[in-house]
Amino acid sequence: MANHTVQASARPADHPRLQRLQNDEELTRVTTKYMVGTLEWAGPVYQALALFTSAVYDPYSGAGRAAMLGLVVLHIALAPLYYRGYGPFVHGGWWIPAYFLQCMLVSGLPAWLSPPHTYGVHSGWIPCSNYAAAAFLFLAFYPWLPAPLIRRRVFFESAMLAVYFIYFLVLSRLNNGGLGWLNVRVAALSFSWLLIGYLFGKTIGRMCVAAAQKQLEVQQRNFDEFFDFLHSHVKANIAAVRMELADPLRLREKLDELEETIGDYRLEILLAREQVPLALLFSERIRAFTGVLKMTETPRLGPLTVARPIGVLVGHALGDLLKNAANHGATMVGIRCDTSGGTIRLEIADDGPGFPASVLDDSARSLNRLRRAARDLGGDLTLRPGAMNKGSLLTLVAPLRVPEVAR
Amino acid sequence: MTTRNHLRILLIEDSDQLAGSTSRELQGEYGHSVTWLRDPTYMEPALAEQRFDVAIIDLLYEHLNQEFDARRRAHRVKVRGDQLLISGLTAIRILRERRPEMGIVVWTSGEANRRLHLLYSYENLAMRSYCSKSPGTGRSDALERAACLARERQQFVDPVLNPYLPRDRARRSCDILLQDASKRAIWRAIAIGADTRSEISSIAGYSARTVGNRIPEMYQDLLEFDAGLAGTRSPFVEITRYADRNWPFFLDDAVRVMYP
Repeated sequence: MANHTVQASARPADHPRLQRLQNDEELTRVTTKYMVGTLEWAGPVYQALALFTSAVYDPYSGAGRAAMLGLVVLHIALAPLYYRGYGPFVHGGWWIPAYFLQCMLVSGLPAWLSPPHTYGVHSGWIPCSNYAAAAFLFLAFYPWLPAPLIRRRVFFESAMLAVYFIYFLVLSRLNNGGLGWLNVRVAALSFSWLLIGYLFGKTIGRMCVAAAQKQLEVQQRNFDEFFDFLHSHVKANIAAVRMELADPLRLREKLDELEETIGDYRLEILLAREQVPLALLFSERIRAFTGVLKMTETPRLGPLTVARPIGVLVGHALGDLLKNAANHGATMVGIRCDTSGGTIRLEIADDGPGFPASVLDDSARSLNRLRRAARDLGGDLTLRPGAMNKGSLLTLVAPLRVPEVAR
Repeated sequence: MTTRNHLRILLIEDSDQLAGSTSRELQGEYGHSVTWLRDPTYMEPALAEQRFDVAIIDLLYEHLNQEFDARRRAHRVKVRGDQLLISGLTAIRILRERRPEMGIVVWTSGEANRRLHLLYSYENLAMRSYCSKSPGTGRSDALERAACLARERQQFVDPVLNPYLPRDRARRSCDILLQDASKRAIWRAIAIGADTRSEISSIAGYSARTVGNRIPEMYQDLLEFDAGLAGTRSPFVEITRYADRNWPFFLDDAVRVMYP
């Protein structure tokens, strides 16, 4: 009698297998943080343009203009860094207040670099005043507040916009020694650019939520599909197995059918990935033929993955070639795979009766379709007689990394 | 002492159905005695009470994974101090240390999230016996054979699992990915859920500048590790995706013991 040490039940009720399909705060945060990393480089580019326009059109002294142009160069230099993921919003935390402090300092710089009584007296000042619009754009959709305060974010963000408006007025007053109606109007015009940036940011935020929602819908459809698969294939096959319990041969047949159905579905899921783990693909295909073919040799592939088109090609090649071998009476198969030199070279040798190379030219045969698919990706499929003229040796060659055009 | 034909087997497997039927077959058909544990956390008392010839070990335990993942998602896991994910690697490590005379068979279905565990067991724990949970015969004959060979210190690699094992190459996987302490800390910080540079810096205990400098290096390591990686995104994105997808490996307790 086996000695069983049994502990708790297989799955605690509070640990469901699937996560809830819900577009909640957590999902929105993750999506937004990911998206900001792809957009942030545009911030310094926009700011460099704003500074350049100001340097060209606003009435700076010679040194002031040089300082502004220096800032332009600095911002252009920042863009590649932000593109590589070094931007303040990707960093998060204290980098965000630091970034806003930088925006206030740069926005305020023209008030100090320009002669007295010239700041905020004409609409030409707007380009530099709208410097912070990029920051407000990112702020509007970035999850910068902790979750408990998130419902009050509009209040905080409105307060920040108001502070900026007052800041423009203060700068105008310091430069002009007083505050006229013209200064207020110019400050309001500058402020409107910040508001536009902020509203654009809000729109991007809505897009993030919509994108996450769309992803959820795709996931929901996949779940529905899987649910249907479980119902119409797995449960139906199990019912068929139950009915054949009295007949071991039929029972075995039904179990094989069930295994094949599940195996095919697993393979479909595997090949839907962007990067396909080659070992998993080989393992799935080899598994489907164990008991039918004796595998005399299988390759070691370790952690290697390939892009989906290559994975699909290799998966089809393995499936078709092993099926061919089994259908044509082979009993032993050897599989080799070499991935050196930027190409994948798959060799399948069997001890079956063999077949002429002309089958590769017959468009009605699966091997012909396979060869076309290989050639489309810059590879090829060739056939040679096996060792000592017994069986056949099929060789598939394809690039390890998929050509950009095939992606 | 047992004869070759009558092994004392320690089976560590979380599936009740599979463990039950396999135990019955190993007992009834082959005359072995089988002690079944649901996961490696119950191993210590079993080892103190009994002697075994062979251990048959699954790699990942669904209930332990689920529980750990729930804590991970709730940000309740610390990479230092706390026990990390317990997997079959922990069982192998303990047996290698305390019962070096025992044969060990890794018994797994071989799934995407077990790829790195299989590599690690081969390269770092000198495992040479691998048996698939779904043999073509539908019986436990291959497992029985693997157990007998493991007892005799002979290797057995199921053709279904052979593709997961590494080709001979100059550097082991962990020497590529986990040799440097700062890189290990960054992998684990991301695997635990950090997704910004400042979060990674705070969890890993290295400055944001160091994190920023290491990530492109880690990306090069990753390309050496997996030559087929398309690499169309920024190093930061590629590294975070890889760590997130393979968190059961980067947060494995046995891996941390060897690569603290």
